[in-house]
This record gives sequence, structure tokens and C-alpha cells, in this order.
Amino acid sequence: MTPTPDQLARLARRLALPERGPDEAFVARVRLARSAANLAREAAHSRREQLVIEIGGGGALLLAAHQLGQIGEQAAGLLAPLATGVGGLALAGLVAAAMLSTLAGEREGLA
Amino acid sequence: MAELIHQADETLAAAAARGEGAAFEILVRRHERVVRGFLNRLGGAGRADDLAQETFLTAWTKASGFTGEGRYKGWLMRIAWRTFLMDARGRRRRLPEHDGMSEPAEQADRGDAERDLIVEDALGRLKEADRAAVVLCLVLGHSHSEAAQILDMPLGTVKTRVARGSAQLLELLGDDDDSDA
Repeated sequence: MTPTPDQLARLARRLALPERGPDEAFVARVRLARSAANLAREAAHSRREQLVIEIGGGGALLLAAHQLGQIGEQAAGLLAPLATGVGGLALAGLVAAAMLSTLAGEREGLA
Repeated sequence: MAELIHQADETLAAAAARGEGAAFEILVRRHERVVRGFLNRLGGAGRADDLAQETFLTAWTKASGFTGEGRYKGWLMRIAWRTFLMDARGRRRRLPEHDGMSEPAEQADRGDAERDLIVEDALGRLKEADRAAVVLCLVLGHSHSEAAQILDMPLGTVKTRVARGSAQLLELLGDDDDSDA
């Protein structure tokens, strides 16, 4: 059965939305939801920024550690032949001399 | 603000796309009755306001998506229809026996409650897409081609759905004109 235009018009009247003015409470509700969404977006943005800074900082620390390691290796490379070249007794003498000179320095400082 | 009130939807939509909240608020004020009414007729009053809020939020966050082709109201109704479909799908997954209509709203206890419930019940017996086509064309006065754009369906399909849905509603509700009663 195909409805006639009159039948459709009557049906439309029965289904019609009630006429009314703007609902300010709903407008305010949408405003609040919009503010909350904006805040959430800003928070997510600053979290992303913080993450980028932290990752950058971590990378810089890793690089510094790597360079320090290289310097340590170079220092060890310089000292190792010295330690093997000098005998055990001479090495103990060197350490004792260093200690004595430190003590002498402290005494002078006190006087 | 006072100047904005008299602006056309398209001008306000362009301002909203630039982030002007005041312009968007006028659009909300202008269209909330129709968007809420559409969602109310689609899925019962219980969820209509939540879905309408979601619709307007999407319209705000994707304001630049309105290119000015067609009417702003049509673009808004398309978002409302998609929001409704996504919600209905989610609800069906959670409640497999769900029929697509929400619980009757509290407001149904007041005023023309009985008449509203009868109309709501009859609409609830229609398929979702038939219901949407009937509400858009018969209740909100959209043309068949506008409804086809909103629902993202071929024009012929929308015409069929409107005819089928109207016939079904006439069967369910009867053909009495009691609107003046």
C-alpha cells in the first residue's frame, strides 16, 4: 500500500517535534563538554612534549656515557704500559712518596 | 556576539573552523532542537541528549571538515546519524537482544506522555535505516536527495525506505488525525 499525500501529511503531524525555543541548559552542557575536550587535548599535547624532552635528555646522557667510556679506555691505554714497565717495588715506592708529599702538604697548610 | 547571531550557518561554521567558540555556540543554539529531535525519534529519548552532545563535540573538533558544500544542517545530521549508528552497534555488541531503541525517557512521564510512547513504540518497530529516512523526510522536511546524502545511501534506496516506513507507521498508528486532540 502506497500512502497518499494526505495520509503522509497527517502522519508527519503526528510525528512532528514539539516547537520550543533554544534549550540554554543543553547549550551550556555542550560548552562544558567542549572545554573539557580542549583541556584534554592540551594535556595530551604537553604530555607529548614532555616525552620528547625526556627522550632527548636520555639520548644526551647515553652519548655522554659513551664518550666518557672512550676517554677511560684511552687513559687505561696510557697507564697500562707504565704499570707493567715499572716493577712492583718501584710502584710501592711511588705510592709511598705520593702519600708522604700529601701529608707534608697538609702539615704546611695547618702551620 | 550580537553581530554573529544574524550570520548564516556557513559563515558561522567557517568562524568555528578558525576556533571561534562563540560562533559555534550560536550553531548549537540554532540546531540543538532538530539534532536532539532526530536522535530522539531514532533511538528513544534516553540516549538522545548524550548522542546529541557527542554530535556537537564532533562537529566542533572536525569543524574544518565542513567545506561549505550543501547545508550545514545536513552535515550536522550526517554526524548525528553516524554517531547514532556507532552507538547502536556498540550497544548491540554489549546486549545482543537489544532492538535499537533505548529505554523511554523520564520526560515521557509528563505532558503528552502516552502519545509520545505510542509514536516511539511504533518507530521502534521500524528498521533503523527506514526510521531514519522517515524522520528526515517526513518529520524534518529534508528532500529525498538530502536524506540520501545524510544517510550515505542511494536516492532510490531512500525513497523505498521512506515509502515502506511510512506505510508501516500508518499501519501501526492508524490513519486518525489526533494531533489537534
